[in-house]
Amino acid sequence: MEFASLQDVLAGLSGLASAKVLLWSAAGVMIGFIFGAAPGLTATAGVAIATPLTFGVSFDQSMSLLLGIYCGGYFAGSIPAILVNTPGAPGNAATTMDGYPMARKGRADMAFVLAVLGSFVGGILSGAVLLFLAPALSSMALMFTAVEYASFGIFGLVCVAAISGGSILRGCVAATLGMILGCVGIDPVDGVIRLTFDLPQLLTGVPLIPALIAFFAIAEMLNQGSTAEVRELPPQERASIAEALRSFLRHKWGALKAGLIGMGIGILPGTGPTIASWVSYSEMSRREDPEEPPLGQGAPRGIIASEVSNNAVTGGALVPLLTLGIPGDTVTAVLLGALTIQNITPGPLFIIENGNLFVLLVGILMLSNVWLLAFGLGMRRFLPLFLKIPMPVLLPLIGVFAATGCFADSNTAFPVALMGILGVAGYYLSTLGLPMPPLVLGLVLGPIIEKNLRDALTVHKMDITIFVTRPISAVILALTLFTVVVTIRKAAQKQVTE
Amino acid sequence: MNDSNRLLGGITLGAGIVIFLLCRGIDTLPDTRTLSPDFFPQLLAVALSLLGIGLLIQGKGRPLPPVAAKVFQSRNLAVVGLTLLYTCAFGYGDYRLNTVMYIALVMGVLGCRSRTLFLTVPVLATAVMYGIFRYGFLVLLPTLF
Repeated sequence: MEFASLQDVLAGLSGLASAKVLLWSAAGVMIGFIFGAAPGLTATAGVAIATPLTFGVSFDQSMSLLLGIYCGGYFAGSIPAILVNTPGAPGNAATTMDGYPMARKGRADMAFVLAVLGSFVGGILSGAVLLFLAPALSSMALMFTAVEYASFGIFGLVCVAAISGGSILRGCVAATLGMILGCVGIDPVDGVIRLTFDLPQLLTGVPLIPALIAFFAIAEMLNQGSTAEVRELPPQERASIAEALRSFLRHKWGALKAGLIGMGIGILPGTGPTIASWVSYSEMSRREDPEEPPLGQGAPRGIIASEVSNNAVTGGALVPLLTLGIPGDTVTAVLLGALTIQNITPGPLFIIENGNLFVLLVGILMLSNVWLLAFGLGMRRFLPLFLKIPMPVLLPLIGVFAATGCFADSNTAFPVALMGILGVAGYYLSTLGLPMPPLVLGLVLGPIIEKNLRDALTVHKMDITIFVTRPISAVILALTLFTVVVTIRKAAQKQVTE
Repeated sequence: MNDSNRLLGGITLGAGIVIFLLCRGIDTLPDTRTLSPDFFPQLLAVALSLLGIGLLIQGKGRPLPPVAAKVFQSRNLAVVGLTLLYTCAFGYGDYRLNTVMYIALVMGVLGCRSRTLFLTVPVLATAVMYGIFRYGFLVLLPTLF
């Protein structure tokens, strides 16, 4: 695979100068903001709803709208994550870890600026990598088989240590519970029904979005409602962009690493922003900053890691789509349909045969990120007004919003009931000190690990040594082991110091 | 047992045992060429039980009386009950009616005493939410009329 010629590059870039492209892209980002910010509705839903609207428009306008929704939606999940501890989309779950504590300290504005900057940097970085390294990266992604995916899933579990809120043991309990929830439904390899209690609605498993809303929004809502005096959030300080930039630059290497992680994970089909943001958050937890609170208590670097990585997935996920015709995440799966509507078949020859379209597509992705920056920074003053709503009014509104969003995800009432039950269970478990983020991580990673582990053993005739004899898998497992040993040593040293 | 870690450990151990027993009812295919479908859940159930034992041994959690006081206060139980009722009955009755009642009742339980807010917020919020989801996102929310 070769890169596009200079002529294609110039032709592609000239397409960006069209007023229609600018307007469709701006509209897409705004629509993406709405879909991303509403719990239960995701960028995938936004792109899916908007795709049929692109039948009558040209390629550049269609892609401007859809990529705008894609980028806007991935960022906007951080708005409710910061304001009400409810990630708008699974990929923003890690943002709640420090975003919400910042809002509780009166620093929601600062958290927004960091989220916007992080998303912008992640998006631009991934666009640049997509432009220059797409062919090389896609051939590397092809080397990933079930063996590597299983090892990679196990590596993802290492994040539990960073998001356990102080007790690794309790974090492990939560992650294990999450993985058990992930086993519910039809077994992905043999098709056997497991732990469904004869409920047909559970045959497809515990749906992620209701579970996510339950463990973050409902559990937090009930927690807020149970305090002796219902707490109001303090008045919110205004943050300057310069201050946020200083904070961002202090963690530039961490941000770069988060961007690379996001892109790397985005390239692997079937993974996506949820895993990327947790892995980056975990990676950032290895850095300490004396000028900032510890991670999980309102540290700006936590938001930077999560948001850079979350939006870096966008460019990464387009790599396998454009170079192999394989979608990297759910949104790119829908985008594949949108490309088909435009009579374009992505694959190994796409860049060679349509170099100008490839460059235009990357340009539109970057343009969407510029709109994201402009709209995000412009709107941030209005968003904390949401926090001025008195808690006795805000809490039932969160409950209604969560339930309605959950219903909208599948147009059935069962996930809403499931969300209520899981939310109450999550609330009682969290009052006993069980952290919720590892539970969600377990729910995401459990099915990935199990399916790939079993697939790998099927292909390799139950030869377990395959996990250490394949070089990429061996490196991933060695990294996992190394991280576990370092974490345990650190925990032991901390215990001795205390 | 006056420690949240021990209580959590007890619950975890119990849950691990129950899940292990439930997993024994999972069918397995005679000619499966990989790990059986019950392997992973059983492994996790065993891990959960061991982690529960770890928590029981470790202790050092939050003292239980304040946790119990928080959990069993009447206001908290009322909000939990109303939320469970609202979510479990979401598919029945009329979304607009259920939502107005839920918002008003939770506001009352949480101590909102402003008559203006009581009269406006539940109806307005429900109307806005219904309008956005029904006509904006084309979601067919459950209604009776």
